[in-house]
Order: sequence, then C-alpha cells, then structure tokens
Amino acid sequence: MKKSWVTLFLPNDEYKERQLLYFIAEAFVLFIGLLGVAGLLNKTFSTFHAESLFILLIIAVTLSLYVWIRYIVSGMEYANVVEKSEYKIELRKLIGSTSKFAVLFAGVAIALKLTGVVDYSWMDLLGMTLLSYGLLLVAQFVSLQRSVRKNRELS
Amino acid sequence: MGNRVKEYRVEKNYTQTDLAVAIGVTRQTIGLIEANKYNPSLKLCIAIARVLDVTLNDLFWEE
Repeated sequence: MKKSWVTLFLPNDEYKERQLLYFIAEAFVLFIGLLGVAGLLNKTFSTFHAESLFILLIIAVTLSLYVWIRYIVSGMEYANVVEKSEYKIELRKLIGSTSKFAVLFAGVAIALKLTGVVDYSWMDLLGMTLLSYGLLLVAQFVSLQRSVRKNRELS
Repeated sequence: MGNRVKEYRVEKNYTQTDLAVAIGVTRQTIGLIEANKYNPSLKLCIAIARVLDVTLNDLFWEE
C-alpha cells in the first residue's frame, strides 16, 4: 500500500526505505534551520548580501550531500554482499560504473566547452573530472566496506 | 523484545538469502530483524510467517 508519490524514488526494501525517509526528514529539519540562519545573517550583517538563489543552491547541495553521506555511512547500499567472492564482483562493478560516470562527466564538460556555454581551461576540465571521479570512487568504496562489515556482523 | 525468526529459519533449512529472496527484501534486513535491530512492519511479519509456515505468535510472541 503506497500512500505517497515519493515512494517512486525510494528502494523496495522496507528497511532501506524507512532509513532513507529518516535521512530525508533530517535534511528537511536542517533545511529549515539553515534558512533561518541565512535569514538572520541577511538581517544582521549589512555586508552579507548573498543572492537568494545562490543561498538556496548552497543549501540544496548541502542537504543532498547530507542524505548521500548518511546513506554511505549507514552501510546499507550493498545489503546482499557478505562473501569475499560477492565483494570482488561488487568492487569490479563499482569501479566500472564510476569510470563510466567519469567518462560521461568529461564528455558533457567537453561538449559545454566546445559549444562555448562555459569558458574554463582544459586543465580545469581535467581537474574537475579527476576530482569528481576520485570522490565518487572513495565514497562508493567506503559504502561497500561499511556494508560488508555490517552484513558480516548480522550473518 | 526478542523474536524467533532465526530459530524457525534454521529449522526450515533456509539461509538468510533464501528467506530474503522469498519475501522480497535484502539479506541485511533479515539479519537486522533476527538481531532485533529493526522492527518490521506487520506486512513483513506476515510475509515471514507465511514463508516459514508458522504463526505470528510463534515468531514474535514472548511468553
């Protein structure tokens, strides 16, 4: 029995679904708090005149990162991986999917540069690609490690 | 609150993965339920009871 459209974006597993809803609810509470702080800063300090859209963008990125990091640290992403053979398979998949992301990222960035939409140097482009690839790889690796540890404790 | 999910699962010769696949959850969820670290919904409790062919009382009722 699904009562909300948000379930379309949630996993089918009951535990994962519930935990993700907690993380999203926590992020919402933080959102209210951060909006309040931003409002106070705007009122209190005359030098603080950030654009509303910019503040909202920063808050949105922060909250998305919050939910993502909570998900990674919770060790529930790879909920079926216990054995060493399963771990090796997942590790290979993880490296493959992260590499695909890096190629796609670089492709979009190059397309944006060549069409003149953005104007950053080739070094910037390389740096951004490598940085996002590295961060994603580390995040996924940590997620896998934590998942396996948690799964082994529960076996 | 304890439960006897692991006891009945082992009795029926099911692995955690077998039970997880049968009721459509992850193996981790089964492990969490068995370790009393997650309280499943009534819907999931009934699904577990059906697969293990026992009653809810057998699984979750403490004398």
